[in-house]
Amino acid sequence: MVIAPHTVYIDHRSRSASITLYNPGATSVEVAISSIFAYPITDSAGQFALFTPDSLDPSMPSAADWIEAFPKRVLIAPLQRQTVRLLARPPQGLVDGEYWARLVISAKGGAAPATEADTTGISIGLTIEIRSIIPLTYRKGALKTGLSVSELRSTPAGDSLVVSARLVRQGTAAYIGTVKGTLLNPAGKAVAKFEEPIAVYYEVAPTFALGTAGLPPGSYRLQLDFLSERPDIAPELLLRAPPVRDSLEVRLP
Amino acid sequence: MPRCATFLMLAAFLLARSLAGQTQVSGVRDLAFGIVIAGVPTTVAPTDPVKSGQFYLRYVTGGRVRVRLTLPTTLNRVGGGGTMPISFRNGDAFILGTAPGSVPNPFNPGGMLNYRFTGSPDANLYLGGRVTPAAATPSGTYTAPVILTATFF
Repeated sequence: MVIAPHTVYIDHRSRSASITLYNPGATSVEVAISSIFAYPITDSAGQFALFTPDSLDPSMPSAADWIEAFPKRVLIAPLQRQTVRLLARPPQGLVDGEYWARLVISAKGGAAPATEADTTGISIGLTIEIRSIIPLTYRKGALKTGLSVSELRSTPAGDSLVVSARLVRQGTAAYIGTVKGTLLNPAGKAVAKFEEPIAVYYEVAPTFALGTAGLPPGSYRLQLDFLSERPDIAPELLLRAPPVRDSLEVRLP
Repeated sequence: MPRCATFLMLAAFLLARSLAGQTQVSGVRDLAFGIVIAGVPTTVAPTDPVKSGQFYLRYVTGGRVRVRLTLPTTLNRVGGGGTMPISFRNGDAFILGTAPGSVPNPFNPGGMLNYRFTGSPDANLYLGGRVTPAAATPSGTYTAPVILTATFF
């Protein structure tokens, strides 16, 4: 199942958005759309995970209960697409802010064809269900975002440098942007780079990997730049924030 | 510049634009055990180019996805009257990016996989497994659901 866009934004003035689903397969799929409240956190290894509370606290900025998909269930034929409207029905008196949900888009194919029974009379056919979980953001009023970076660390690991940092969102909205990591040699020349999208809803401490294969031992400067821009999200949907840079002297063995 | 080259460049540009903001998770190939004989265990390696299950994932280069497979332990005979154990071990799944030089990233299909799309925006996930039909397994079709959950960050 192809889902576009991969990040949904709904503004309080329009209270609606849409996603397009496309079935690239050769068989029809039955699709169901639902929403949950969740936001990304990181575990002790710096890996991203979704935090999904067992019960909703009124202080949690959840939009999950008042986002509705039309249709909620649909059968999509092979090579066909379907537009799904997302309508928001926020409670009266909703205070300005950003509210979050995750769309869960489940696609069930028909039963996989059973393998040939042949003379044994035994055949096996697994049924496949694919659940894609993408973010949805509902915004009301003027919002601000920003990022603070601390505890920047690096550890050589094989032919990589494992980089970690503590990222805390500032302002009233999630920080959605891009992190660019650069390793500079003593002459100031970039000798290794990475770039990846980043989303900080409250606080995360992710790890990043920077390839260092072939680099001579010695001192380098590791530089992280956080920019509130994403090539895969329309600029008008992103909240702007001042660029943030942090750096660290590292030594490659 | 020849007109066809201009057209191809334009098509590539438009394709890249259309793919920029979407995700894709698709089943490419079912995990196929082939001929199963009662009393004889059958194993499919994730590296099997024909029988292994294959899923295709696409996001953005540098993006991260968390993959969880919900796998059965038992296959049920359609119409009732029989079951068959199915198992998945550590290393029965791996994910492989499509960028040149990508290396397989094996994982335990019973756990989670955090994957970063490095060098390209897409990857393939391969799944193997084994069935151990008892000698007295009744003939028929045996089935169970496999759920792949992909959380995009």
